[in-house]
Amino acid sequence: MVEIPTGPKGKLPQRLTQIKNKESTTSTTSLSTPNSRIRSPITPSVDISTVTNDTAQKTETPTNGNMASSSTEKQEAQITSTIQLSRPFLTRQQIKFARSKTIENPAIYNQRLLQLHQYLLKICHSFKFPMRVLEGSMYYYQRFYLHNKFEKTALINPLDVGITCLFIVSKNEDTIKKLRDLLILFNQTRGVTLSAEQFENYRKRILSIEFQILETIGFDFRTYHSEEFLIKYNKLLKVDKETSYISWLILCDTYQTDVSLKYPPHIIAICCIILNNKLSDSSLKLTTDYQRLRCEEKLVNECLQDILTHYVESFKITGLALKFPDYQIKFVHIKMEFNESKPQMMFHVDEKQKQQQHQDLEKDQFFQERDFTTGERRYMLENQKKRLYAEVDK
Amino acid sequence: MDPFEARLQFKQLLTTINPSHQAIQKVISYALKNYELHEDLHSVILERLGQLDMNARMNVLVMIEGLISSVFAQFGNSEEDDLKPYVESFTKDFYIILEKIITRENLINLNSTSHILKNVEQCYRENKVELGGNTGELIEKYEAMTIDNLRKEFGSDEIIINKIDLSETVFEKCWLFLTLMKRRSLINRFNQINNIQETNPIDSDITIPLKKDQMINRMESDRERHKKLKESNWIVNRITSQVDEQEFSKLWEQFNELNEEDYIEIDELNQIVKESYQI
Repeated sequence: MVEIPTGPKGKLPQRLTQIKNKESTTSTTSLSTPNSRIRSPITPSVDISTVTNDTAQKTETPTNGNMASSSTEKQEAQITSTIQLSRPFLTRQQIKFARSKTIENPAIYNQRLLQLHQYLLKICHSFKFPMRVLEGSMYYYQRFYLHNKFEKTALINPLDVGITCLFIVSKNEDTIKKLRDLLILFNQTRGVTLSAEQFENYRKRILSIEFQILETIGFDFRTYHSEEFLIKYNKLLKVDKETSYISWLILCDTYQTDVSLKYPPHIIAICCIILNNKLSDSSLKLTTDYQRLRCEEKLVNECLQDILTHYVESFKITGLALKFPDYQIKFVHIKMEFNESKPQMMFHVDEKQKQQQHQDLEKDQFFQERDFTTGERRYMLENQKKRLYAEVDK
Repeated sequence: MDPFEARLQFKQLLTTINPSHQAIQKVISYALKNYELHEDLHSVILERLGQLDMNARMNVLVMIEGLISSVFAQFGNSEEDDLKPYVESFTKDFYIILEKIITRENLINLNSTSHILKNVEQCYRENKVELGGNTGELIEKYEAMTIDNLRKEFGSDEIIINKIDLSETVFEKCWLFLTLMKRRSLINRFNQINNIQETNPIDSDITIPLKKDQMINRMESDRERHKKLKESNWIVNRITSQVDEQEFSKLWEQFNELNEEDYIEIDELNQIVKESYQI
């Protein structure tokens, strides 16, 4: 047994701060300064001695296959602290890359995603939750599986993750329901009966998943409501209420897709309005006005393409299909027209850039498997990055 | 199930009712399951109400509110009126029910009842049930009543009782009844503050004080109900099991045209996106 050092601050082993972030990942920063200096501005009241204990244990037995520990060996330094940035929006390539690491079979993943959407929709209806709760849950769920393994052997059932996401969102959106009530209904919905003891265990399991989800989203509780922008843009563009309603239906269908991972809410909202405009063949002049709407045209095009693809490929399962069963062909036409116009795309890259991007992504620690065992994990919003660098440089 | 058995079971359910969502939902689903026997079950409710203590009576009222909205959700699409069990009987007897929930001797349920009555009316209106009468004014008057304006604007008990007898629609009656009761409670309060002895001592003798555990019970149920009340801020009633226009209408009312502040927010969002993409 290695003796665990519990001495004064000066005797602390040298620490290494691992910054999971693209720019800094090429060389993991090693710091010779006492750790407390970096830490103090943000979490001044961390118990130094506990962290030290953790360090000592780590040196003794590095876990196999653990990313943090293996790099520990390479660098011959100990990782006791990681800083995790929250990045709420990712590019298409980044998402694809992250999923290639976590999802074995995309077909099953997509199928499960739609299944979950149905379950959560039912629960939203039963508890009379507004649709924004569903939006948030689907967003958290999909973010979870960018960084956690989705496979048959995974310990966590995806449906459980889904219901936990709903639970978190219901707290975040101030539409609080008791977890017990949520779970009872959820079990009813999928036809599962549990004994009192099983139920209690299940509830505890959900609470532990909750923590993992919160870590995965980096405790980033900023909420994004596309519907708010949808209404505001519609009113700005003088679209009447009845027509706007259709764009809202389109928006509700986007919750089945991963657009919320890629694009900010105002871009999604404007896309729904554009699509609605094209569907209704009205003569609203939208296309030239991106500057005024503060939307980047290239990004709008990307988002439009995603939504159109969803409607063309899986029209039958969308909510719009219930109201307008014959619209699929319209979407096909719109998509063809859209592709012919050769729009400029934000995420478009040529072959050479693609390779370069892939290499960069490989190095980017944000997309490495998350290690939830590192002694100290800190979370930051991406716009606090500057402060982080300022700290590290000292 | 034969009516006798159903009555017994339902009676049992009503006796054990408590303010938790689960318990109330259990009663509601029982009532919905046996909707063919709705007349029997309705009479059980009326019968039982008189025998329960005041706290439990309040719980039953909460259950009735839930039942009405569930019936609309389940049977709302059918055109024929007779396919909506319970609702008709409740509409007819709502006044009688209220009289049992708020008795002249015990006004403890007054406040919660007014909230529920409002919700029920709202539910009727959302499902386009013709109510007749104009309760809006009565509600305003009810809410505006305070100790200070009591004597000037609200006449005497007799005037209100007279109005109750004259009014034809059930909700008008209900609101007038609540007004009457609120007036009473305010007068009591006024007398207490100013140390005026009850002019009618027989009345005060009947008031049965709550026991300690009943009080604690009551506080807990009130907390539960208050939570439920807060839910009305966000609750979305959907008539069909699909997203519907009502939710959109609410959103439409909620937000205005894009303004300067929104532009700042959008700029911030664009910045977040840029930093988040890191390309």
